[in-house]
Amino acid sequence: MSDRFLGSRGVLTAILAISFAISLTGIGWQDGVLNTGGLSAVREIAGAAFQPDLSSDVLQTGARSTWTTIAYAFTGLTVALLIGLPFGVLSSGALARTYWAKRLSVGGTRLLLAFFRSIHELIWAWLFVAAIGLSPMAAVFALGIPYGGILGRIYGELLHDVPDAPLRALRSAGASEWRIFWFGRLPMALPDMLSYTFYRLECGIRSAAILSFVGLGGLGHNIQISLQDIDYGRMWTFLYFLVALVVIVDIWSSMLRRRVAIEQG
Amino acid sequence: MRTINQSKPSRETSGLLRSNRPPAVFAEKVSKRYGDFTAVRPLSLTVEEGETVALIGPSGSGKTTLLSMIAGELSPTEGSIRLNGKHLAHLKPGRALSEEVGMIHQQFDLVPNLSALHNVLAGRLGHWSLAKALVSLVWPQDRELGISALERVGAAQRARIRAGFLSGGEQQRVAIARVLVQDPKIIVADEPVSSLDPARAEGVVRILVGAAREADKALVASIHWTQLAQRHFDRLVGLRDGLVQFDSPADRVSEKQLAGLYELTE
Repeated sequence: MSDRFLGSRGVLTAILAISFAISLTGIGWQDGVLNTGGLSAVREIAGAAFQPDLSSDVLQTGARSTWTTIAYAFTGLTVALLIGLPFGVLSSGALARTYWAKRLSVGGTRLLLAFFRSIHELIWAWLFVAAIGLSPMAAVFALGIPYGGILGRIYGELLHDVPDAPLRALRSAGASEWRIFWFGRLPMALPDMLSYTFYRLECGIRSAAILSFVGLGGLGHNIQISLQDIDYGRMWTFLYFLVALVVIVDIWSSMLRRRVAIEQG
Repeated sequence: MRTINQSKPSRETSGLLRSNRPPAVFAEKVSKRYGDFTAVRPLSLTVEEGETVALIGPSGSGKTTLLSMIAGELSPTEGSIRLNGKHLAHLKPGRALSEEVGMIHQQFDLVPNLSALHNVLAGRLGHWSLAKALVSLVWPQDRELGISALERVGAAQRARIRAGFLSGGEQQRVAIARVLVQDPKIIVADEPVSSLDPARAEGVVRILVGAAREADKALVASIHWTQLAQRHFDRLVGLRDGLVQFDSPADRVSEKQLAGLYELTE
C-alpha cells in the first residue's frame, strides 16, 4: 500500500519537474521579466524613508487627508457599532426567554452577521460606488457593514461567555433577563468589548486609507498619487501620518482600557 | 428514609407566639437523583422562622444540592418544599421567589466591574423597574438602603471600590449586604466561608448569623468547619451520603456524632 503510494508520488514529482522545465522555455527572457532596475528602486524608496518631504504644502495636504481618513474611520465605526451592538446582543441569546426564541435570535442574527462580514470592505466599496457613485456615504457604509458584522459576532460571544455565578446571583435576587443584562453581562463583558472595538478602530483607520484608493480621498489616495509621481519622499510623509494616527489611537485605547480593566482578585 | 420532626429547641418562649405560623422551610421527603447517582436521598427538614441552621458533613454529602433545592435553583426529583407555607414549585422565579429566599454562594458571585454599592443595590433589582435599574447604573437609587446594609456588614467605607478589587472576606460581606437589601424571609448560604482563612471566616460567619438574627430571618448554611458551626448556629444538621445523620441543637452535638459524620469508609 505505502509502496504504491510512494511510487505514484515519485511519478507525480517527475511529471511536475518536467512540466516546469518545459514551461521555462516558453518565457520570453529578453522582454524584461524581471525589473532590472528593481534593486535601485528599492534603494531609492528606503533612502526616501529618511528624507520625507516636509514642505508646508505636503504637510498641509497630509494633515487634511489625515483628517479625512479619521472621519471615514470614525463614521464607519459608528455605523459598525449601530449594527454590531443590537445584533451582538441578539446573537448572544441573553435576552431570549424560551428555547425557540433563543434559537431564532441566535441563529438568525449569526447568519445575517456572517453575510455582512464575509464580503470584504473593498468589495462593499465597489458595490456602493457602483450604486450611489463616488460619495463619502459609499465609504462609510462600505466600512460600517462588514465591521458591524465582525463586531456583532465578537460582542455576541463576549456577552455570552461571561462567568455564570454573578448572573445566577442576580437571578436569585429576582432580576429579569434585561436587568441581569445591564447589571451583570454588560459590565463584565465591557472591558473586552471596549478593547476589541479599539482594535477594530485601528483596523478601520488602515481600511479607510485603503478605501481612499477607490477614489474617495484621504491618506491612501495621496500615497497612491505620490507613487504614481515617483515622489517617494512625499509618499513617506503620508505613510508617517498614517503610522502616527495608528499609534495615537493605540495610546488612547490603552489609557481607556486601563480605566475599565479589572483583575478578579 | 428518615423523617426529622424536630421543633426549634432554643427560644421556646417565642414558639408559642409562632405556633400557628408555618415554618420558614418545610422540606418533605425531598430527594435528588441524576440518572443513577443519588445526590440527596429522601429526607425531611424543618427550619423555623428566625432559626439558624448549619448543614455539616463531608464533601459530596448533598449539602449543596439540598440548599439549591431550598433556594429554588434546583427542583427536587421527589418530595415537596414549602417556604413560609407556600409551595416552592408554585412560586414564580423572579420577584415572588426572591421575596421568600435569597442565596449566598461560595465565592465569585459579585460583578467584579461594578462598585460594592452597585453590587449591594442589585439586591433591589427584583423591585426596580427597568428604567430605575438603568438610572441606578449611573446614579445609585435607594442609596441609603445600600449604605446601611454595607454598614451592617462593616464594609461601608468600601462602597465605591469595585468588587473585583476587594479581598475575599470583603467580597463575602458585600454578598451578605446584597441579600440583606434583597430582604428575603429565608437566607440560604452555600459554603459562604470555605474560601477564606479561619480568622476571616469567623468574622464573616458572625456577621451573617448576627444579621439574620437581627432581622429575624431563617438562615440555612453549609459550613465546613464544625467548630464554627457549633459556636454560631442554633442547630446543626449532619449530612452524609445524602442522608441526615443527626439533627440537634448546636450545644448538644457530641464528639462521637461528629467523628461518625466524617469517618472514612473504604
